[in-house]
Amino acid sequence: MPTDEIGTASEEGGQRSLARLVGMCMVIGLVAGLGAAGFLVMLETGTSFCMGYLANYHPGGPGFEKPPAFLDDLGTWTSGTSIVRWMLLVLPAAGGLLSGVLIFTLAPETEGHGTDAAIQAYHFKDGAIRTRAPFVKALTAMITIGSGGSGGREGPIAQIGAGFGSMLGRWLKVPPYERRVLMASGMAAGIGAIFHAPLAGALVAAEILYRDPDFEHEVLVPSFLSSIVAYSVFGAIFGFHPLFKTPDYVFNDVALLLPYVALAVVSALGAMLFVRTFYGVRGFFFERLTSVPNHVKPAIGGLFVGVIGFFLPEALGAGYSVVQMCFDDKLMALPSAEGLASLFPNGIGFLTVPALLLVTIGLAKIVTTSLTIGSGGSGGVFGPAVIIGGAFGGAVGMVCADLFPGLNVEPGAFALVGMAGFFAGAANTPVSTIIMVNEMTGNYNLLIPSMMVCIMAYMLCRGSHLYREQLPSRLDAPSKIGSMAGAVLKRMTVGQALRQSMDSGLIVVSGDLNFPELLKRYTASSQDCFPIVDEQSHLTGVIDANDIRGIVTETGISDLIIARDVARPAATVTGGDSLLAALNKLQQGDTAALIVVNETDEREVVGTLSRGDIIAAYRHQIVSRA
Amino acid sequence: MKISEILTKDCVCVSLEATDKVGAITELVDLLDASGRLAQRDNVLSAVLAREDIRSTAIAHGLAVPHGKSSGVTQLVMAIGKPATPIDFGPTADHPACSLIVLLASPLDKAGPHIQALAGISRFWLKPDCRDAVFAAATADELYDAFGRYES
Repeated sequence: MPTDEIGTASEEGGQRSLARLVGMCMVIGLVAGLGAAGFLVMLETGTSFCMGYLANYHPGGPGFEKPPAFLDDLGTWTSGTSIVRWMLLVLPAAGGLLSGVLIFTLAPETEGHGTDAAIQAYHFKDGAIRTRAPFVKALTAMITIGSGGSGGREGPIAQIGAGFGSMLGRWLKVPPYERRVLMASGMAAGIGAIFHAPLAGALVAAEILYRDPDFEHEVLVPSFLSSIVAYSVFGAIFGFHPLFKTPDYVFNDVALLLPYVALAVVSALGAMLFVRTFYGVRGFFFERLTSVPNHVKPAIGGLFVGVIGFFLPEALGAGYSVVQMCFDDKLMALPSAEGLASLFPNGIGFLTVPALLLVTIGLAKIVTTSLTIGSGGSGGVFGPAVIIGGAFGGAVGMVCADLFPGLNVEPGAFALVGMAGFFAGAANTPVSTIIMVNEMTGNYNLLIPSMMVCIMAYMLCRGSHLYREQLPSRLDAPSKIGSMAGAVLKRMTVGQALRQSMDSGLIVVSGDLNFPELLKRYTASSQDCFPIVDEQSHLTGVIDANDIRGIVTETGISDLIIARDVARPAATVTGGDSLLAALNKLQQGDTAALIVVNETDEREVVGTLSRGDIIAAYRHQIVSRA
Repeated sequence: MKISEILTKDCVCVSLEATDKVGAITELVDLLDASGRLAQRDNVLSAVLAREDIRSTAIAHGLAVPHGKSSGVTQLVMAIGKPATPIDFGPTADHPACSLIVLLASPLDKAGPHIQALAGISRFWLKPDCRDAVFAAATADELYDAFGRYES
């Protein structure tokens, strides 16, 4: 495929056989599903060894997630009867050091949250991800999160799935357009599987690429295909349950929308605080530590995380148990509940002890996540974001339940909706997040409050962007410029451009015209080329202005040259041809202009068409439609 | 464009036998053909003759530059010949006949290089020193060297 032709990539992509696409998506789904399962086993193993065996801290996970039977003994790894606090202090730093050295030695692009790396690869690298990146990401995320660093699964699995999609595209030598699609469908498959959310996984891959309400529609169908397969493979190993176990919350009173408005505002404020803290810690602290090698920065981040974890273990690791305990109404069983209750027996203000605990964990999780990922550690931000959102949501629910006892506010339902609202605001992805949280909890009864809170939070957070590689919209995507311009030019005809450019008469010349006379016409005209015609006014060739330009100052050749000596074969188009075809012909022929000929008699000259004419027509079309 | 970049020694002749312009053009085309630089000799010959028929290529100081564009050649080629006696290529202001004939042929789609080569020859011929060196050359080597030396 000629790389300098515009508008051909998407055409070619659209012409690829469906069977081939389905086959590739199946393979990506299979590998991403197995990859998600393998990555989850690695995470469980890392967490059980570090948190369980070394620190005797067993935070538990999301309610329905049960490791397969062969990992049953993981939960029994223990070293005593109470939490070994000093271990919680040092483990994140040790894990940070190990993962930092691995990341910055083997694949520096895997630092931080992998979703941004995948978005960047999609937009700016034609979907190219190094083969080693998914493997390094899986290993370092296991170490980071297992040792207590606050990070989620989505970033690593996004990079793992996307990495395989990209790898397959490279092996099969598909064009960049298809490689990007395969990469995105790998991302969809990985996220769909590991969050038990196949529909949201597919949608998030199409939505997360842009900040505005815009979808990458061409990745939707491939993403659905690979997500179905990945979810099925993952479900066959871990079961076909939603991620979280929730009571049957219901929405049956319109008055409940009022406290949900409060939840939307709190979610939006929390999301903005999260994004600011996250990039503040990175920009104002870690990036300014110029004398410290990047390899060591995750260890420094881990040290601060350890200090927080020493006092508040719930702020460590993935943290899913906090939301699960909120759903189960067992918050007071969390390790820090007793200590907080002794400090504030009656809570603070409107906040009862459980609500205060949730707010404390939410705020602490913002800091630990910022320290872990902002320092270059490896992990996702979706997981922490939904935990923080769930914690704030639960707290809002508790306060509202106390303030409006007649409304039957369920704090767990607020936690669920808060998870969605918080992430929708932070990540600018309202649609997929609504689906994602409903799929993760298996509860669609709260769709209406979820929709309201997500959209409100999204609108309030338009200036905050958790994923900085997101582009505003498809109009801003480098990969779309060619196809968008191509789409406009494809719909316009040469005839349209010609009508706008034919203000002055066309100059044609005879092949026998002498050079001095030719120069006169050249200097008096703004034409980019001069058609040469014979006695019957039939086209025989063309003089390109570029060819004359180099010899206008030569003094001795006027007797030597006549018009036909300067001629070249004419590149022609007809009025019915598209401007896209004309532009590609101009590019291939390396000529200043094309000769427009009559559609019924191609020897008859109608006009000339230069690049400038095409640009003017294009601009006219854009301006008149704007 | 420099003449020495196009011209090769085996396409230079200081003893053209022809006495008229058709004969001289034919001899130079045959010289190019013998050197293996033409794909279709007849095609090139008719293109150059047809061009010469439209308008003479004789210019001041006794130079003729018969030239043409043809599908019988794949790249710009040049042959140079000195006739034993000057040949009439048509009237010019100062000379009744031409003492040097430079033949140029190029593919149909190569307008730029073709006219740049014509401009290069014209520029060379405008300098008296160059003309003197050409007139003084007695062998093909000397004629070839004259172009290389004065262009540099």
